[in-house]
Amino acid sequence: MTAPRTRLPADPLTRPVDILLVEDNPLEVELTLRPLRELDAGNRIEVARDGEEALDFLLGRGQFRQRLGAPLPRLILLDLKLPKLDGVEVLRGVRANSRTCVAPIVVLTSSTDPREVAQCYQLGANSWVQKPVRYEEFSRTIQTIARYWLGVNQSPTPAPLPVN
Amino acid sequence: MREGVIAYDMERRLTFINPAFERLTGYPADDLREQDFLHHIHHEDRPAILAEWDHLAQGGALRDQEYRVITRSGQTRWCSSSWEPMRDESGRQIGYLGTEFDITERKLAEEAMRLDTDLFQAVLEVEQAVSAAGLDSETVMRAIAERSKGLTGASGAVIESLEGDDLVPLVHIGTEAPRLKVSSSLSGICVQTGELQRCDDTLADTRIPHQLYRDLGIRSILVVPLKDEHRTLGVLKVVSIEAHAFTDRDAKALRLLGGLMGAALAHAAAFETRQSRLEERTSALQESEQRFKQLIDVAQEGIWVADDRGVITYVNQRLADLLGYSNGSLLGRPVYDFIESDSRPAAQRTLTGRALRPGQNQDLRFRRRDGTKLWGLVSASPILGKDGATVGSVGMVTDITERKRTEDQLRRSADRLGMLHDMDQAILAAQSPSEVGRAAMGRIRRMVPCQRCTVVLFDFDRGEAELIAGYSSGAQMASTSYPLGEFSAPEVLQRNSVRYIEDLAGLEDPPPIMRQLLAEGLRSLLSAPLMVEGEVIGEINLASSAPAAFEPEHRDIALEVTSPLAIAIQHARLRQELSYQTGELERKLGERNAALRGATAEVETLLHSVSHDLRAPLRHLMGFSRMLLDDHGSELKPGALHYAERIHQAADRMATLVEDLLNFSRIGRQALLRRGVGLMTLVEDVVDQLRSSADGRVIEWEIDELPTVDCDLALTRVAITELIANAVKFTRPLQRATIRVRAVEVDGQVGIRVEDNGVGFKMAYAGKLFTMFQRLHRPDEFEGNGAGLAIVQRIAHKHGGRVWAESEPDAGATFYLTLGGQQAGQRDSGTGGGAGREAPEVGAEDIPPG
Repeated sequence: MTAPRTRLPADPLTRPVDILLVEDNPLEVELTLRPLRELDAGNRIEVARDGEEALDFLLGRGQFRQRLGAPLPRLILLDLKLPKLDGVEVLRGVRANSRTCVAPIVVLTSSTDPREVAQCYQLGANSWVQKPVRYEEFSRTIQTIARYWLGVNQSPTPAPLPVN
Repeated sequence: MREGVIAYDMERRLTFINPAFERLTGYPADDLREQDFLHHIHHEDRPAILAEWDHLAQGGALRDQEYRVITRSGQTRWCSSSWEPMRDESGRQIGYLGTEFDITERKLAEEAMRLDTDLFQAVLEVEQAVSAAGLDSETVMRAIAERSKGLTGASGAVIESLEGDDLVPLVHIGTEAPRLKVSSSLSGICVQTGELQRCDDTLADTRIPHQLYRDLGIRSILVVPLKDEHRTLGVLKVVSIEAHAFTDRDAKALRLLGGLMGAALAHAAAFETRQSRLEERTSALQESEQRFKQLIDVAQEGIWVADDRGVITYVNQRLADLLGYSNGSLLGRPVYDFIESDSRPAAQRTLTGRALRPGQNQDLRFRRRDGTKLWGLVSASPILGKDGATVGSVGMVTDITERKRTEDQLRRSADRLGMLHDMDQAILAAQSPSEVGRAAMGRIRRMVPCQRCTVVLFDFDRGEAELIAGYSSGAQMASTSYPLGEFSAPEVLQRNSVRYIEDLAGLEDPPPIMRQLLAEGLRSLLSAPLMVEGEVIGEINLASSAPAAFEPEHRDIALEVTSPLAIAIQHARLRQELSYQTGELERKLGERNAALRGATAEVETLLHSVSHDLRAPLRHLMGFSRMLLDDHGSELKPGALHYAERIHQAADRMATLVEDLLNFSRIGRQALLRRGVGLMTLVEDVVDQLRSSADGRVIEWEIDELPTVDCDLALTRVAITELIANAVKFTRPLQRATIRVRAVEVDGQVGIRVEDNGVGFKMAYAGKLFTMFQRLHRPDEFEGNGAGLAIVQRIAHKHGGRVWAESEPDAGATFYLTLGGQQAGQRDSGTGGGAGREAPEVGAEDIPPG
């Protein structure tokens, strides 16, 4: 099932974003957004439904060309199982770019494979969190992440765009 | 058996003695066994035996030996001995097998004859000396003294001349010779009596002054007078430093020489005419010749005298008897006429010409008048002419046909035994039929002279014959199959009998195989069937390029081989069949195992991915039902609210199941990380944790000393936690719970036992305890989903250990857990508590230095 484009906010191409949630499952999206909104209704959240869209958004390519040079999200919540490009590839793409490489990425997954954990950290994930099955716990975990990365963590300023 | 047979090991200790050898030595076998073989050999012959021993140790060829054996009664017996090496199963030499042939009589006769031959020659030599030296009596006397000493084996010889009351030495060799008094010496007695005097021990002889001879170092004396026709002129004397040194023969020899000497002296002194000297000499010669003839006519040995071309000039009766001719018909014919063609070149080399040396022995094959063979031990000596050239030979023949036959039999028995041994080895070694066949043919071609030998197996059903092993002109033959029709008719082949074709060329219509053999130059063919349980399975074929090449004994050997060979081949076939079937079975088993492993792995993967993939929808189910209850609970009618709660509860339960399943499958997939884990610390740690969850309850804990075990810390922790938590859970209804943890060791496996006084269970259900999600209590009695013990069992099995339980309802339960690993000593007893324990020991090595 394809998610309707209208789910993206009206001015997605330019406005600054607090959190980019990369997740293809709409139920998962809904379940994740709720604790985030509960924590702070003013958070500006964007959702990318596959790996390619996430990379386009962050690197300012394709339909997100106008975002080129826009501030990076303060937090990227990245699922691993994604259509087109998977989470690992997104991670690699983001870290390979000199501007986006500093973006804080938290891998949010239901996987428990220790090899995947190791790989993600090697590719530069800032954190790895396994999604708890029980909602109360899940909700608490999501809020803790958001509170830390949006409230406590200080990210470096991205390098300026090269002048053509 | 008449021959002595003995065996001795590499240290020369006797290990086997047959009765004939007992008779030879006069000792019972028990007295000889384990004794050094040399101990019973004459000391003079020991160096030669030791030298032979060294010669063999350095890889030299076996040679026959002759030596003297000292019997129990102190007598000397001559033995002719042939040695055969003995080997153990691995082919290592463990000693020798000796055939001891008593040749004492022959030796004595030989000695006697040699003596007289020597005497004969001595006479000729003295004759020569006299004619050469003319009247030079010094030369003549010296020659006679030398001869006397040599012939009698004396240490010294003296010729003394009578001068008044004194005896004055004229010539002396090998001994001092003082002037002697007639009145106080053995020489004096000889002069006075005019007779030969003999003293076997100077120190015991009352006729003579002992001191004189002691000073001279003389123990034995032989002395003969030297006389002319009228008076005694002096004496010829031989002496020895040993007592009893001289024999009657020595005395005869000396007497003869004395006579000769007297004649010579008389001649020299011109007391006699030349005529009388000649008479003297002739009579001496006649005496010697007569003695010689007498001796050889009574000898047990055949004796011939031949001229320089080997033509017989004299034979004794014994030789004529041995060869089956009359005395006269042998005379005038070359001795080689009576020697087998295969022995003849050797005989011509050694019986005439320069190679002929006194006392040389050799085995030669003679042909009797009736065509039968006679094995003779031949000892030949040259007869030298006046000029020193060989003018003829004297030969002495001992009949050793019997001994040769025995030796042959022994050798053949050894070969046959060897072959049987090979067969046994082959059976044991499970060699292929071809290998067995090759081993047998390798042996048989050494025993039976043949240019080609083969083992052929028949398949009568398929009409095929397969040559599985063979040698042709010394080279191994490759395996080949033939149509059975190329051999003889099946009826012939199936007959249980040896077939011998003396000459293939004489067959009217030979089968193709035989035509081929004939084309390859083979003439005679011996075939013996290989029988197993009354059925012919094949045959061995021996073929020779000579017609009628095989003798009855070859047939015997062939027959002897076939029986063990057939069995060995059959065994080898069965072994091959068995090994093929075993291999097939193993292959199938391997396939099944692989399939099973694959299937198990697939189930594991499926279990893992299913339980894993269930987590996301489950989270959604729980999330949204929670939201429904939280956000809209107040709007719901009681019934709807109840169902919403039920949905949430069910999802919650499912979440537990999925977690358990994931844990369960994780244990299967996880690699075991063994190290020394101190169970004491681990159990105390677990108990501490559980104690807090059992708040308000009275639990009496008894924890014994526990071992350190080689196991996976994390998994062991899970299993022990589960067992102790179970004990805590099922003692809950009790006022006062008692939980004991003790060490256990069963079948060399160590672990723990956890004992409680809780509600227990019926042993009838014990088998279900460890099944996944199997519960023995209702949820309203005790919580849980029946995963715990299944996980414990999985952990135990993973370690190679096991878990089991004993219980009675309301009488408590005891759970045993062993982890397989041996107790790892105390090397790591202080760790294993778990909480602070990080990297496994191997980890340290992975960290690069610096």
